[in-house]
Amino acid sequence: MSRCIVITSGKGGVGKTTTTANLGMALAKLGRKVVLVDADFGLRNLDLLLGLENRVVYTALEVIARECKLDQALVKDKRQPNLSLLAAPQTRNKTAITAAHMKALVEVLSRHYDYVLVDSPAGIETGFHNAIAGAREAIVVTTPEIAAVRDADRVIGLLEANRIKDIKLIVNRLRPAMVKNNDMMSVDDILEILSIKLLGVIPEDEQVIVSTNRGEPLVLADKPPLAGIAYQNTAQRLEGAEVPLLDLNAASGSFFSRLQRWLIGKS
Amino acid sequence: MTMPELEADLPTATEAERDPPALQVRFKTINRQLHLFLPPEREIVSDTGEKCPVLSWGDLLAQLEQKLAGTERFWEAQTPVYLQTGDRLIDVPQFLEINEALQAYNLKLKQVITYRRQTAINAATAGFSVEQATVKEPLKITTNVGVPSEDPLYIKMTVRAGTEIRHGGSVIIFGDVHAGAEIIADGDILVWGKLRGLVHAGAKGNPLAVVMALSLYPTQLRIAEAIAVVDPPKTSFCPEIAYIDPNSANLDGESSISIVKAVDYCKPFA
Repeated sequence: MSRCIVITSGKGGVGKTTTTANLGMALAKLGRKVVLVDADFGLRNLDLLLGLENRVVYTALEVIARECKLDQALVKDKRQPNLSLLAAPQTRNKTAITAAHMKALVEVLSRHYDYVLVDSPAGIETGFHNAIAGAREAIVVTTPEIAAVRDADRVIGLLEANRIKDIKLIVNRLRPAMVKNNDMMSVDDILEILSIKLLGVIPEDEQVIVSTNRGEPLVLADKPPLAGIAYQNTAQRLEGAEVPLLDLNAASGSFFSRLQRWLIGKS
Repeated sequence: MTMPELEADLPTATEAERDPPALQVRFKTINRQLHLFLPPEREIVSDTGEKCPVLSWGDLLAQLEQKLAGTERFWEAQTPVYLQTGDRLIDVPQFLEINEALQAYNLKLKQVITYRRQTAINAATAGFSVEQATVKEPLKITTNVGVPSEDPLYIKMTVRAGTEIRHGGSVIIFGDVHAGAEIIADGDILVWGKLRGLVHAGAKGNPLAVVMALSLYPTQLRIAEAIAVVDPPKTSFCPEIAYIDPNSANLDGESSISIVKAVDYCKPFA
């Protein structure tokens, strides 16, 4: 049974596309057949993050208009053949397709792949409703900010109203040092507000920007940075494995602050 | 498919089956039958001149889904539903959407009751049994000050940001009410859970209405005409009750909202 998961957030800029790219790549590395669907029509980015921009010939729109076959529009990643991408059209806007189209598309893809991950646009308008149309599960991405958490709450309500009940949370861009100083909401604070299941916590990491610009998802690296490891663990949890959350405090800070913590921990 | 004769010899809806229009989708049991009322399509102006906004079809469906999710446990499987569409124009795909939503919760759309001929035709085309009632008086919201007119609404769900629940009686919520959600009731509001959203009890002016919650920390609390911003609770767990103390009225006759621990609440009806 394949899984159709929409990745959404309500608020923009919290890391939906980054999460889709990394989670998809991590699942593919675990040996799953994964297809990523960019549902952000008119503002497509997923192909950039995967470094596949120059290989996109046809998009979801041509598939829906029957101008090409689905196979032709799917871009297979050469680094990780288990991963394919269905790009969004760049030149049209969100009204180009309907929820019924999307549903049919996801339905067909789910017959050939273990995972169909749909990258939703920000907002709760038509584009969002199209993106969630075919999904049976959802991953809500939020950052530890009050606005992002509030929007996530709204989105969870809308997902539930659309009969998507299996909803999990990823907290992105967490800064453990700020949480420690009570300058940032903690994961527990967020869970207290949203009361849904936690799938993963991704720390803030400069490497995300580097990898985005290069078009190489973090998890592809031989020695992934902390955020990459967090994405790998998140993918394993999605697969059902019990992986404990990373101890972000241990990994952050300078060598001396780590040494200090280690010494304090000893005494 | 042949069109059934719609106008001849159809019994008109009895007074009990007709109901004042509400602004939300709602379920009501009348004569042991489960009726589903859809809000009117037209903008309504209440006696006080207040304009009530009208739901889009998408919002209406989402609201229906919420109501179904929040109350599904109360119905047995395959309970027949009588759909009261009032003067709303509903097309065939829309009927099918409603039917699909009901089916997902194991309810059966049994009959459509409408004032509108075209809606009746559409319902018949979609394959549902139809009753076309005669047009009622112009739609108006009755404003009986202080008297909650409807049965309490019991909701078993987490009420999340962006959800608005309006009800012409008391509202009971078994679940949390998150910040960004709004509960507006003509009667009391009881939350068996954490209350963080905006609540308005006695919305039509009943100062005897109360708000109670296991953890009472709403964004804003209103009872009748009074508005309060609530301090965070001092202890971690402390069920509280908010009410208007009639003795608190100042010289202008304005009274303010008091909050007490539930165990300390002096019940005026005792």
